[in-house]
Amino acid sequence: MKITNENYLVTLNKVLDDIDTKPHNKVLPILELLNDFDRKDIVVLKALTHIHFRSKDYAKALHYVLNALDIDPEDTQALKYKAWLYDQTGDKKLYIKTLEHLIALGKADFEVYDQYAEYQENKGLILNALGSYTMALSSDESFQQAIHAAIGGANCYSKLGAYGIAHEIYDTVLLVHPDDKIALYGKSYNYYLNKKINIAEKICKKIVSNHPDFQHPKDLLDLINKQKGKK
Amino acid sequence: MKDFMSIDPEDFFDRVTEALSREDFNVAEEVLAEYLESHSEDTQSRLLKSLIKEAKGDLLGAITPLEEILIIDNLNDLALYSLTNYYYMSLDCNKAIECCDRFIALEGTEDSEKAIDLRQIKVQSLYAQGKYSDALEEIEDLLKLNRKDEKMIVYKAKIFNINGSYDAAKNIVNPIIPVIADEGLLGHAYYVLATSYYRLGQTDKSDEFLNKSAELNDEFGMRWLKLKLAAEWNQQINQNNN
Repeated sequence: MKITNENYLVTLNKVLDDIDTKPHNKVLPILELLNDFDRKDIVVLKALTHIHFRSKDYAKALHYVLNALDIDPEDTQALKYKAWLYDQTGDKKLYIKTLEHLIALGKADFEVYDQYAEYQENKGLILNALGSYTMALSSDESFQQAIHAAIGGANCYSKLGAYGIAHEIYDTVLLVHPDDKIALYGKSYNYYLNKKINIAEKICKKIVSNHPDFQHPKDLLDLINKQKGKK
Repeated sequence: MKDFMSIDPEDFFDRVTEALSREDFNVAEEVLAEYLESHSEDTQSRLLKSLIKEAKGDLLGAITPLEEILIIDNLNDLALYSLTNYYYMSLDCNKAIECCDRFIALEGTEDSEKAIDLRQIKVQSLYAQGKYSDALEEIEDLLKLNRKDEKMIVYKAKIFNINGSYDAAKNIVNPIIPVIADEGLLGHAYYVLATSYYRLGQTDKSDEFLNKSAELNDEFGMRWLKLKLAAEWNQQINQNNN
C-alpha cells in the first residue's frame, strides 16, 4: 500500500476506526506508513502512542508521545499518555509532574484529578486528596467512573475522622450499587475506625459471604477478632 | 541593618492594603513578614496574614497565624471565631468544637449572633463526625432560639433520614424550601428531600429534587446524580453488548 496526498485522509480515518477493534499487526503497519508520509501529524503520533501503550511497548510509546508533544506541548491526550507512561515505567516523579502540569494548564479531566487524588491520598495529603476527588467528580463529564471518585472521597472523609460524612457517601454509592463490595468494605472500615466494631463485623461477614475472594474484609475481620480476643 | 522599629504601622497597613487591592498576595505576605520581624507580638497583622492565606486557598496556612494569636492572647475572640470556621472547613472537627465552646465561654452568652453562627458550625462538626444525637440536641437548642433556622432544619432532616424517619424529614424540609435564599443550602435541602423520597419509594419526586440539587452544584446531590447516570450508562452499554 502506498500513501499519497489523495488517500491520506481516507486511510487515516479508516485506521482510526479500526484501532480498537482490529488486531495490532493490521493497524500498526498502516499507522507507520502514514507517519512515514507525514511525520508532523499529531493524530497519527497519538494513535501510534496508543497502540504501543496498549501492547505495553512503553519505550516506543514514549518516543511517539514525545514527538506529539513537540508539535503541541499542551495536547491533553498526549500529556495524559505521557503521565501514564511514566507511571507504567515507574518514574513516579515525572508521572506526578505531568499530572500537575495538566492541572496547571486547566486541562485536567476526571482521570487526571482522580489519579492525582490517589497519589495525594497515598502520600497522606488527605485534605488535598479530598479536594482532588471532588474536582474529579465535577469534571467527570462522561460519569463513567464516578464510583471511584465517590469512594475515594468517602475514604478521605473517613481518614479525617468525618465518619458521618463518609457514611453518607458510602450510603449514596450503595443506593445506586447495593452490593458494591468496595463501598460496603469502606462503610465497614468507617464503622471500625469510629469504634463501632459490631456493625463493622456484621457488614464484613456479609461481604465475605457474597464475595469470598475479596481479601480486605477478611483482614478486617481478623483485626476485629484480635481486638475482641484482647478484651 | 534595617531599623525595624522605624516601620510605621500605618505605612505598613497601607502597603499591605495596596498589595491586596492588586491581588498581589505574595507582596502582601512579604510586607507582613517584614513587619512581624519587628512586631513579633502583633495580632492584627496575623489576622491579616490568615485572611491572605485563605484568599490564596491555603486553608491550613490560614490556621497557623490564628493559633499564634491564641498563644499571644488566649482570649482573642476574633481568632477563636475564625479558627472555628477554618477548623471545620479543614475537617478538624474536634478542634472546631473546642474553639466554639471556648468562644461561648469567653463571650458569656450562647445567644449572640456570632455564638449562634459558631453553634451551627458545632452542629455541622458533630454531624460530620457521626455524633448524631449530640448534633440533634444542639439543633433542638438552636431551634428554640429561632424555630425558622433553615440550616438547622435541614440538618435535623438529615439526621431523621439517617434514623429512618423519612416522612418526618420531608415534612420539615418541604415547608422551608420556598424561603431558603442561600443557594448552597437550598441545593442541599433538595438533596435531603431527594433522599427522603427515594427511601419512601417515590422515585419520580426523588429524581426531580436530585436534579434540582445538582443544578445548584450541591456536592452530595451531584455525586449521587453522577453515580446514577454512570450506572444507567453502564447498563445501556451492557444491553448493547448483549
